This record gives sequence, structure tokens and C-alpha cells, in this order.
Amino acid sequence: MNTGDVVAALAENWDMNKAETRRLLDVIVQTFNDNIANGNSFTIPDLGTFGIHTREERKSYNPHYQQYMKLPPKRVVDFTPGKALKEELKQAGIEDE
Amino acid sequence: MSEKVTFKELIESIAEETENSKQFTHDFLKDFVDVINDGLKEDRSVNIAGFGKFDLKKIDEREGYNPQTEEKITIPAHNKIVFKPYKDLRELVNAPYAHLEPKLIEPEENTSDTEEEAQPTDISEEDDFIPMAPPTSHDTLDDKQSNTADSEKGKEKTFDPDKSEAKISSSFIFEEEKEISEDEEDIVEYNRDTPEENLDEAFEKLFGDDDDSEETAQEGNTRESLQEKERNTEPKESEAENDTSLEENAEDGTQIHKNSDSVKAGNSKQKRNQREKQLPPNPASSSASDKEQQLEKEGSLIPILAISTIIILLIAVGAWYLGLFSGYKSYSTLTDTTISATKMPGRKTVSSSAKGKKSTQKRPINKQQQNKATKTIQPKQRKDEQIIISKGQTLWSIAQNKYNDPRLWPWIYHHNNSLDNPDLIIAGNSLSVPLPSGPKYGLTSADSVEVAKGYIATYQWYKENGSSQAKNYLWVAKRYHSDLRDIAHFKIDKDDLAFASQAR
Repeated sequence: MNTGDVVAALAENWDMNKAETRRLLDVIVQTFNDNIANGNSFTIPDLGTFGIHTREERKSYNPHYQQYMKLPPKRVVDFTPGKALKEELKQAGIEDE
Repeated sequence: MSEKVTFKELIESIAEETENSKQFTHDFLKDFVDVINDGLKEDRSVNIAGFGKFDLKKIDEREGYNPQTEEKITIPAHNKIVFKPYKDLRELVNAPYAHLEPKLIEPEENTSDTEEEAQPTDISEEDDFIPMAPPTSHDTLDDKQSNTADSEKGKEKTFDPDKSEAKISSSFIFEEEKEISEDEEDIVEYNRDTPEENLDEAFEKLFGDDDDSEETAQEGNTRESLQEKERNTEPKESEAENDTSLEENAEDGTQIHKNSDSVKAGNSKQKRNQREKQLPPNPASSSASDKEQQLEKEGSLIPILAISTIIILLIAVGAWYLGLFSGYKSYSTLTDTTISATKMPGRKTVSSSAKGKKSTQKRPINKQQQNKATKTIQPKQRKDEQIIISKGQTLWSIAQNKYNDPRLWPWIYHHNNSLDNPDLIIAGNSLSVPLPSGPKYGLTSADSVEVAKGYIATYQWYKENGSSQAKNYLWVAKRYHSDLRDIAHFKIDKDDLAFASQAR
């Protein structure tokens, strides 16, 4: 499912045109991004928690070139799915197989 | 900065921006989440442009264990929700560290590799010195070495049946030590004064001249033995003393020895023959060789050489007299193959002067031998450094610290008899670290022999402990010293030796 599909679904639910929906969605995403980038964490009910954590500086080893690399610290986005969603999706598609 | 933003606050900010009611925004957002959830269920993947991609990732059944009870449990196959942010978001998030880049850590091994390669070339240069001499020289060098070995064997053989008492043997040892020290002095002095290779020849010539004028044909043997001493710096005083025995035993004893050891002495006879050849017809042959070699500096150095020759002669005569009075009987029986060998060619000298050229070619090698000999003395002068092992140190790190080359660590290992396991040193114990005796902290050939011994010792330990890596140490040892059998005190496994010989 891509953005177009999401917009189409939302537009249908709320009886809005797609462009409008798209604009609204962009604002939502923009707000999310700003908060994440500022290091704020927030929880969306039924979806999960977004946040940030920092990966410490570390050494890595390239076995092919047999080189050690020093990797700098890195800030990454952290997403923890909500418990309800996790449980709901845990077996999705598995019992089918 | 990193605050917790509530859902309510989010809705407020969104509603403000979109000029919609909070209720609508809340409901819309809830619906948005529902759409995502539905999408994950149906498509297992939802992509939101500018934000990120939610994925449902299948995790296969696997074995795990409960960390509290340590019971093994089977984790059933399940789905995991993964969120991968868009590149823009990732870069935005990582902005504070964006200027940092991965750096390549220079491994220690790289630097030491280059150093190690530099060292063996140094050593090999020294070694190559010998092959630079004429091709025949190579053989003669080996032969000479075998000569000395043979002659020593002969000595032992003749010594045993002599029933010589402890007194005699002790005086023998005393003599030996004295001789060595004297020789050492001479050689050190000699090298300092005469840096040119050619001087060796000049020296030889002078030596021969003096002897010819002063001494009889029989004493040519003393000369020979003296020269032998200088070349090898090995105690050959028995040869010097044997002159007396020659007079007594004359033909009888020597002849017997000749017969018994003729096979062994065969080589040495020839070699000495060549040496002898060049001595008696000195005025003719050596002057010719001088012209060949163009000894221009000879004239200025003759006085120095003459003095050193006289000193050596005095020492020889002194030793001769000492031997005469202290251990007359024992030495008389000590007639060995070297004497018999040197005596025989003495008769042929006149006829075979044509080979003078060949013998002059050997001069540089003799010089080489002398150099080597002086180097072998050096280990006695080598300084050791006592250190106390501190926590965290390894032989490798100590070697890195002291030599700037961690790969010399077997040298330290070999140098400390207290060490058994090369992989284990105990903090607080003291170690004596041998220091390289070469100029500019370099390794001399004697040092590299020691290093090779260290590697062999390491090899031996690993071999005894059944490590498959053992032969690698032998391989490295080979790089430091070409003839491992020379310095190994045990029998080296054939296969390992074959492996090691690939090093050259």
C-alpha cells in the first residue's frame, strides 16, 4: 500500500477530494517529522511510539578487506509498535500458509 | 529537547496548522492509523511518502531460551512491524552527527608488516655478501666449516684414548679461554684498523713473509693453525702446540691419523693445500695478486700490519711455550687431523703455485669469515634490559615497545628461560629483554640468529603442544636464519622443514 492508496482510502472515508486529503496528510507527516527530528517522542494510539535513540560510536570489521572501521555515533528513528497492533498482526498471514 | 509529546498536543498543533477542528483532526488521525493497520494486514507494507515505510516482517520459528529460568523454548513464527524512515527523515534526525564519517582504523599489523619486510632485506644483504664472492668461494666456505668440524672431531677422537687427566684437560680449557680472549682482542683491533678487504691480503702476505724468513718449514704449520684461529676464532691452540708433538711423533702418529682420518681430512687437505700454495711462494704469487687487486693503500698500512703481525706471533710463541711446559705430554698426543692435513700440502707447495690466483680469490671470504666471527663474539657484549611485566602487557606488546616490531617477541621468549608457555607471561615477574646490538638499533646477523632461535623455541613449544600453527614459526625462523639445522638443538620435523624452506 502506497501513499496514493492511503489518500484514496481516507478521501473516501471523509468525503473529501484527494488533493485536500493529501495536503492534510502532508501536514500530519510534517508534524511527525518535526517532532522526531527535535528528539521528541510521541505515541500514536493503536499504532506505536516514535522516538529517537543514539547509536554509540563503535568499531566494525570488514572481513573481506580485513579492515577495522571506526563508525561515528548516529541518531536514528525509533519506532515501537503498539502492543495491540503487535498482537493483532503477529499471526497475520502465517496461519494461511 | 527530548520531551514526551502527547497525542493531544500533536492534534492541537496539527489542527492549528490545518485550521481544522481538534475533533476532526483527532478522528482523521485515528482513521489514518486504521488505514495503516488495514494496509499492513492486507499488503504487509504501507508506504507513507515523506515519512517512512511500515513493513510486516515474518520471523521464522527459532530456538530461544528464557533468560530467567534458562529453559529452552521455541519461539513460534510471528510477524514483526518494522518502520523504516525515509531518507529525508533519517538525515534530518542524524543532522547533529552528519559531519562525522567512518574512519579506517590503521591496524597495527600493517605498519609492522612494512617494518618486517625492511629488516629481512637488511639481513639478506649481509648474507648476500658471501655469494658476491666468486662462485668457487661458496664451496670453499662450506668446506672450511666442515673442516673445522672435522678437525674438532679428530681432536676428540685423539683426545679420548690419551687417558689424559683432569689436570691436563683443565689446563687445556684454561689455554682455550686465554686464546679466545687474545684472539678477540686481535680481531677487534684488526677490524678497526683495516677496513679494506684488501688489507687482509696484505696482512696475509706480510705474515707469510715474516714466517718464511724467521721460521723453518715445520713451523709453517703453526702459521697455518694461527691463521685458522683468526678465521674461526675458535680455540685451535692445540694445533699450535702440536708443533712440538710433530717433532716427537714426527711421522708415526701423524701418519696413523692421516690414514684413519684421510677421508675426513680429504677436503681440508685440499683447502689447506690451496692456502699453503699461496703462502710459500709469497713474493711471487702475492705480489701478482696485489697487482690484480690494485692495493694502492698497502704501503701506508704496512707498518700497522707489521705490528699486528708481530703481536700475533708473540702470542702464538707464548702459547706455544706455555703448551710446551704445561701440558707437554698431553699435547704431544693431541696431534690431530688438521696438522696432518696441513703438513701434507706443505710438500706440494712448490709444484702447485699455479693456483695462486684461486687462493687470492678466497681472501675476501676469509675476511667475511672473520667478520662473522667477530659478530658471533658480540652477543657477549649485548646489553639486556630488565623490565617488570605490568598488567595487560604481552610479549607482543613488549616487543612492539622495545623494538618497534612486535614480531620479534620470540626473541624475548627465548631469552628468558623462565618462560615456558610463550602465550603466558605473569604480571609482576621480571623479564630480560635483549636489545639489538646493531647500529641505529638494527639487528646484526648475530641478533637475527638469536631471533631465529627464538622462533625455533616457539616452534618447539607449539609443536610439543600439538598446535598446527607451529610450522609457521619455523617458517619465520627460516627468514631470520637460513640454516635452521645449525641452530636447532632438536630434530625438526621433515615436513615442517620443507614448509619452512619455502621461505627463501
